[in-house]
Amino acid sequence: MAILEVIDLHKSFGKTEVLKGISFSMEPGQVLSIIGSSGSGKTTLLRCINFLETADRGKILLDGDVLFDADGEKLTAAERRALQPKIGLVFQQFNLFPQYNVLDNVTLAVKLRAKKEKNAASRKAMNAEIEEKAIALLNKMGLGDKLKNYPCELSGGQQQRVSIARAMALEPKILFFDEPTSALDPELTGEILKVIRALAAEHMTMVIVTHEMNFAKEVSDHIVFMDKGVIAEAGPAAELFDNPQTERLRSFLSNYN
Amino acid sequence: MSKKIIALVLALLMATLCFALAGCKKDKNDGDSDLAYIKGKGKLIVGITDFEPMDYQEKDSTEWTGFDAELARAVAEKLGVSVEFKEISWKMKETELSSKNIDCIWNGLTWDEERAENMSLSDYYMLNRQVLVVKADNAETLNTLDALMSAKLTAEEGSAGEEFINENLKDATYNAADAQIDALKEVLAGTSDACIIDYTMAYYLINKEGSDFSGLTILEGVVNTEDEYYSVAFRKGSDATAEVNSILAALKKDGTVNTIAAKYNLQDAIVK
Amino acid sequence: MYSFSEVNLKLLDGFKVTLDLFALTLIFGLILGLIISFGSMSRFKPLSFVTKVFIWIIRGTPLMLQILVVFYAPGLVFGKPNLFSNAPIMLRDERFMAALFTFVINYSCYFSEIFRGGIQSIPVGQHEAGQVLGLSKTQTFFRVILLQVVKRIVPPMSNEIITLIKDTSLVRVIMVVEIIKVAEKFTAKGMIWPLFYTGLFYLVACGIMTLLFGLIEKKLSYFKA
Repeated sequence: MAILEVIDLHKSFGKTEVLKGISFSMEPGQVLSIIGSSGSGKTTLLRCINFLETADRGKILLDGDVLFDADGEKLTAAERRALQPKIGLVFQQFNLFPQYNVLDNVTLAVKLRAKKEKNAASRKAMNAEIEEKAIALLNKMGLGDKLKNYPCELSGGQQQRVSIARAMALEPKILFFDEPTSALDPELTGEILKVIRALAAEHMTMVIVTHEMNFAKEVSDHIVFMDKGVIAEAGPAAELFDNPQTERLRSFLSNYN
Repeated sequence: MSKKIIALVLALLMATLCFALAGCKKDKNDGDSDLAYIKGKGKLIVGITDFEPMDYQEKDSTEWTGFDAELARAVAEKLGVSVEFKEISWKMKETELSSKNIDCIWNGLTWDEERAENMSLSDYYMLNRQVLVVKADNAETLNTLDALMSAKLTAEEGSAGEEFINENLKDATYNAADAQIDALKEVLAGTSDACIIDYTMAYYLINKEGSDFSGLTILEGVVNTEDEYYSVAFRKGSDATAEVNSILAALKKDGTVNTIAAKYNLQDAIVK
Repeated sequence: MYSFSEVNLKLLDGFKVTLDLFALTLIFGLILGLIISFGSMSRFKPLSFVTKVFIWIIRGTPLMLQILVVFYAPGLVFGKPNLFSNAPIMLRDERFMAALFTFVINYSCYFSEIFRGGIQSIPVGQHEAGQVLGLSKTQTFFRVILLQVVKRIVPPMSNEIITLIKDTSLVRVIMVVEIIKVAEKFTAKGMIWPLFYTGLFYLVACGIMTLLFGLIEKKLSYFKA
């Protein structure tokens, strides 16, 4: 069964229609990259799925839950908050919380969630457990020695790895990346690639919006190519890059070679 | 959610304000008789400034004393009400009265036509006059109107001293001062050469032991203004003025006024 | 005449009034300022419009005039003097209460604009990060945004607060006997130096505030926002 299903999604900003009927689905454990030129609607698509924008028409399903249904009832704020941790999002600009150290950035949201469910007595044990998990996660990201550092003391690549750990800490069913390497120096993209590969090896379901074709090629199983608000072409990564079917994709890819 | 809270808080603020203002309106209908209003409160609120020897506090006391303070107490006793002294800013005296923060001003207030139009002034109870004050060093050089013509002068804004300067010393450089005390300060600091102010205040401040103003001197005979008189000021149209006038007359007759004046060495200034 | 220590004691009495007005204005002004800043940033247009007009009126008229209006208007317009003598909490007297009320309203408007500038300067990504991590708006504001705002507004705030200490001297127009008024009363008794001497009290108070703000700035220097 598909873990994510997007059906005929439309979104306009004013008179500009940015998404003109997007449909696709993906299986658990898949890594899907969305490519396309600026303004093709990639980021808007991601933001619609993550509740940062509200689509105008269509339907979004995640693992049996309805995230959005233009014809159904609108989700309340509480319902949205309950669903939010199932979807993780890694931002282009990291958006780490500058006043918290690395460990606190990763544990803040998890601790706030736990606080609601448990009474004071068991909270301490719970927090210890949360921290233990977070430290393990950060170790995996190669940040074991940076737990007490503040974001401003880290390199861009390190910050992006913290933000991936922060998203992972909530144990999402699917993890979205919005151009995770665009704010980084080219030589640092390797760090992120490595982390994403490691996550892929653990069968983490991921959707990556990216401008980096090599990156997309190396890490993804599937590619969606968007152009002017529609999906112009989609398919397995190897096929799509080696043998593009449409003229639009061919000309798009030629810009990168 | 937070939007609702903000809206609620603002609505509450508005409601409180409306309540406060609605509450204000109630009192308006007892405004026919000011005397009844004062007697109703059982308290005469007297507006004063710290002004020896009229209204002042002894060094270690919070009790107001002075000629005006004692006279006000004596009058209030006859009115059958208690007295509360309230310090006011002299500049705001008319506003203090009409906004009913105080009921009268009893603080060496000089009678003049403009004041008589804005407030209800009692009969005269004390003499006053305007005098010229200069630095003692200049007593020899500034003792004629001609000399003053080329000097820098000051006086309290709107006072009889200012009027005198406008009429007789037109060519002199004139700067109005906020208050009489400020006029004295100007002369002491040398920013003005001479000032024309109330005799009562000038005499007191120059002759007080250890006063910073003792380097100044009063020049008699240079400035001749008409006699002035002190009055008590009530709200415009107040019926309390007439009542206080008759009480003042009675107190003068039975010698109370003289007794009080003698305490402050002011017996010569009492209006007979 | 009064001795040096007697003058100091009297001035100190006046300075207590100055500091009371300062501290209470600061506490209530900051709280009200935050509320007003939310009003001015509200997406509910009538509310933000009304709030902005209010801020315009308060910032567009002299504080001195506002003090006079608040204290005298109830008596002049509604025939009900001493509105503030019926205040639910009575600190000192009704003149002080009127002055405090005016100062809180006036300064909260200035504070609100500083808050608004600070809050709006925080990148939208911080709010979005809070949201996608499942934080409520309130949690995002208090756990993520607020401290960053505080860090950004410390310099303009310290300016405003130091101005506040000195602005308190305006309240003597309605005869709240703060330190300058006490000194002026000495002048009326023939002593001029206390007036100039009051400057020392203000200098000390402002010096302490400057040190305090320096300390806060240093405390918050561990992160960049």
